[in-house]
Amino acid sequence: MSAIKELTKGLFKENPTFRVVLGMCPTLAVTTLAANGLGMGLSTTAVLVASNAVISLLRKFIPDKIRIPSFIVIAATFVTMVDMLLNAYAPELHSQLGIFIPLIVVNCIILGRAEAFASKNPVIPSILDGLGMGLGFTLSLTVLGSIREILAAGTIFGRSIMGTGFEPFAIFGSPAGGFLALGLLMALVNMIFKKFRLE
Amino acid sequence: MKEIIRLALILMVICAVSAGVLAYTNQVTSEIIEARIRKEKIALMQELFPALDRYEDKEANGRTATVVYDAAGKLIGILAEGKTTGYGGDIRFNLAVDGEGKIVKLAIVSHAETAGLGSKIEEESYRAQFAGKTIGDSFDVDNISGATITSVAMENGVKRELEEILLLFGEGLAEPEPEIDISKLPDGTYTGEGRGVGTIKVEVTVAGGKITAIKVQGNEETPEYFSKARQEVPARIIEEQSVQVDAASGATLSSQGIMEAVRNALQQ
Repeated sequence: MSAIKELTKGLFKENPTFRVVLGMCPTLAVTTLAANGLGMGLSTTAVLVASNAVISLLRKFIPDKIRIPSFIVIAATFVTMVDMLLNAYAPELHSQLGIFIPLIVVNCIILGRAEAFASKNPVIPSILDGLGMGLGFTLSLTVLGSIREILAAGTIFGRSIMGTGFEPFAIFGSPAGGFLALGLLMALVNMIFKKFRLE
Repeated sequence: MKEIIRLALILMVICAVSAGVLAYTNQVTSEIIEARIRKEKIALMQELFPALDRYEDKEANGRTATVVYDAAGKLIGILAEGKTTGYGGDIRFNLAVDGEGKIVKLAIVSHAETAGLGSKIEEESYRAQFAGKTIGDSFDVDNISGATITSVAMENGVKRELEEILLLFGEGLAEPEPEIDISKLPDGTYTGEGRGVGTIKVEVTVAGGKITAIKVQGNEETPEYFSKARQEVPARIIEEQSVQVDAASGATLSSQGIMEAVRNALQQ
């Protein structure tokens, strides 16, 4: 029961983007297209699961005072390894996700989950926590990316859906539009949570 | 004190293990990655230049290019990167040029143009318009509507970069423009044309072997940039007595247009 809870809390109740409001920098930067949001989300999930697992394993070895630099070193090591391994063994995937991978190091969700969860919990729940948070992040980014892509270009995952008469809202492709879309979506999510008393 | 040393040692161990893991991963993967990149590059070149026999990576004037030769040692193609300043920043592109100096393929590497407008330079139908063009051809292709600055930047940029690439790596496909000896020009008024956003016309007055006055006219330029270029560039040309001076910052297109027009006037 509690394992399921660890997995699903990241998707809705503690969704990193809309509820905890972590990792705004990559969220705003890469969500111009739905595919970018999905790619960034999945890359982050992979790193998050790995770094959560290792940090949880080492939680008794790492002294409290140097935990932050240790977490960052571990996350950065994983990011770099994922980058190199993908480039060597899965070049197709790397050419699509390649630009997002270095961005993951500075994603505060990694550090946030290490600090808030993995450093205090055993390995299995930490992996589930990483997976759930990662998928929640992926979900939010894909939704945000889809909305911005539809409004700014009339396409979704590169496929045209709005017909020829559609006049695109170019602003949603720009950083200002990112803030607007994020703000509106966050308001909507908050409204849903209030209405159904989910908190 | 002891505590600090203990913490430092633990952090050092973590960093050392990380460095070790990364060094090992890098050693294993770097060869595979390099071999793949080389293979992809050769496959791309064979597609563009089927007669490929060997290729050489060359460097000149801070630029790099890959020059492709056929079995007889004849130059049959050049691959090089170029860039131009668009609406949102640098537009970087790859140019493939054949043995006659004609563009075979133009590919956009990266850009920061407006999504849905300027970003259409990525589309095959736009890029294909540049195929077959060489120095001396008109680069006036169909513009992307709503993205004039991007379109003009592409036209001028591709033309300029093609000229430079052929000059540096073309092995005789392009000749450098003759130097203009202003001091030997007879007195008089010369008129010429250049291309900024639209056509820019100039009237250059030469007296006693010196450029003494430049009148500039350009109806299609963006007024706020053009007025800046018109103020700064002719003054610099007269001061330095050279047709190649620094562009007015923020008004690169109009500035280059004025310089081109002055050069054009004096070459006649």
